[in-house]
Amino acid sequence: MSEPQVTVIGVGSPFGADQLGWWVVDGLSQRSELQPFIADGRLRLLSCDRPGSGLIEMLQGSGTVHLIDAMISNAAPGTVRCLRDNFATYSSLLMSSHGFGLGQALAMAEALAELPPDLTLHAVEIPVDLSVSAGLQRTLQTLVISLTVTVISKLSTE
Amino acid sequence: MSSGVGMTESRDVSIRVPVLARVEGEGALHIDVRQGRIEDLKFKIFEPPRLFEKFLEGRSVHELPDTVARICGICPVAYQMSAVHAIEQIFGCDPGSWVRRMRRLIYCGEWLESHALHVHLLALPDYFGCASVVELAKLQPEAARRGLRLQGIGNKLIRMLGGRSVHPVGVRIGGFYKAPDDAQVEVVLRDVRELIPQATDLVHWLAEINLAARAPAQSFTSVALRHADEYPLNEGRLVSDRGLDIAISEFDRHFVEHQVPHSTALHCLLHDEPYLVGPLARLNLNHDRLPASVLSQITGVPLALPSTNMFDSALARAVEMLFCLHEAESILCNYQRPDRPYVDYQVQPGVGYGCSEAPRGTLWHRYEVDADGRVLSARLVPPTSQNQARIEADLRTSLQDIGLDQADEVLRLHAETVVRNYDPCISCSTHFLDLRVRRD
Repeated sequence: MSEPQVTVIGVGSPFGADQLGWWVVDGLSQRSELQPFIADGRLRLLSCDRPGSGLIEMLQGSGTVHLIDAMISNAAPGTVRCLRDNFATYSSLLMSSHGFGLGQALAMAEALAELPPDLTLHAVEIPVDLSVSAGLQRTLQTLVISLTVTVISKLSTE
Repeated sequence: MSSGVGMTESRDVSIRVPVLARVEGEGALHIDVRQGRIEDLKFKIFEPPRLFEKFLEGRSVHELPDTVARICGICPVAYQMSAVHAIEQIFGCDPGSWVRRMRRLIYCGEWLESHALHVHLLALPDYFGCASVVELAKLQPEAARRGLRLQGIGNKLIRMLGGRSVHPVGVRIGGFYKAPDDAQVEVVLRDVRELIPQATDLVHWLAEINLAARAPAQSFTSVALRHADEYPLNEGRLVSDRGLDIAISEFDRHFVEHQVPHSTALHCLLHDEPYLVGPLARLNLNHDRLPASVLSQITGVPLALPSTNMFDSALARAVEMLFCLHEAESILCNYQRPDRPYVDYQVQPGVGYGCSEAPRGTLWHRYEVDADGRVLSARLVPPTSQNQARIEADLRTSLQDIGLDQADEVLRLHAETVVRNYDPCISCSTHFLDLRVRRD
């Protein structure tokens, strides 16, 4: 087994559309093109339920990390924002638990200089009632496909 | 949010903290000062009732460990431990020494995870004048890293036996669903050993900061479990430093829960008086049960026990973290994988009691079960509801002590610091619903 070069982390909770991070990771785990990378350990897929500060530990070990989480910002459900820096700006919009959510964990990791060198947060807008529409499901399918391409591209060049 | 009128000794002040930050769950603070005296003071818990005691009625006892784990994301193991001990008491089930050791081990994981979270993420920012742990991490990066590592090893211990660190699913009546293999144990044991020096450093670092110098001692009763020869986790008698020494089944004869209008959590009193549960109370009553390996590493630490200075609580948590690592090392280095990680039992009707030491203090359960193993009634008395009256008493004393003529912002911050120091777990404590039906 190799050390993981790419880690994809789906963050969520069991409540409605807040599970979307897990669904994307499940979708990636079923892509046949990714199986060789999963098998040899270069691609690590993780799902976690409101990890709080535990996220900082999960960020370690890979140069490239993709995080998937739900966001509520009054944009159209299904809108995807890809953030590569200034995570603290969006911390209040990400779903959080006990006042220490993903935004705070990233801000703390940044303060401790423990962010991975290549980190992308894929924040997907969900409605306030956490319902899952057909449009949101299509967005997630598209995100699985685009992440598959991104991961293959990254691992094929290393 | 607060407003003051004038700056004289007898001014009127109203302090309102509508949502307390850096506590688990949703609570608020309401303090009115009139003519230099505290006229009204309420630690308000307004989180909606969660009704877990009612949810449990009618369920099979087999569902209990997974269901009660859902009460709290920070102390699920405590709920599982109190529940399985109560049910095993009813069934006359002795799970044996291997299960007993593993239960201590998973509980050590929970204390480490919870104490490290509280000391570093929730409490310490107050003492360094920081609004959040992110600010603290910039000011004290090594302390923040140490806190994360200690929290991390706690999570690993829980994951090893519970399958996952939040709401673990590995606990069952009679033992565990799965025993860790030797390779897993070896990895975790290595990590435990690496962290013992860091926990020792944390104790000495907190002693140097001397948080206790910020407030004088108070008068209060400490309550905790006490075991014949161990630092208490899962077993023991309920004792206090004022003469209480009872079996856990006698809880109701001495402790009375009652409702107050400003809280969705019941207040609990011992002989009509507030009392303290939690790390400082535990250490006060059980410091002679700390193993020599721990005592040798805290020699010279200026912590005079028993202590009635509530700001010694962080130091007490640090000492308990060090204890947990030594206890985990001792259990793991003698680990032997059993043929089966649980024992069988016969379902029987009856009433049983479980009492264990959650990170925040004593967690008492009582269940009545029918002949089919279904829960007829459940009562859960969590530590935060037990500490509520003590928190309010502490606030009265502490605010008078720093002087009610202080600026509103100083009073507000000190009041919040006092509350956070107890590490209240509000979601755990809100079980009841006062239902009144009026029929005309």
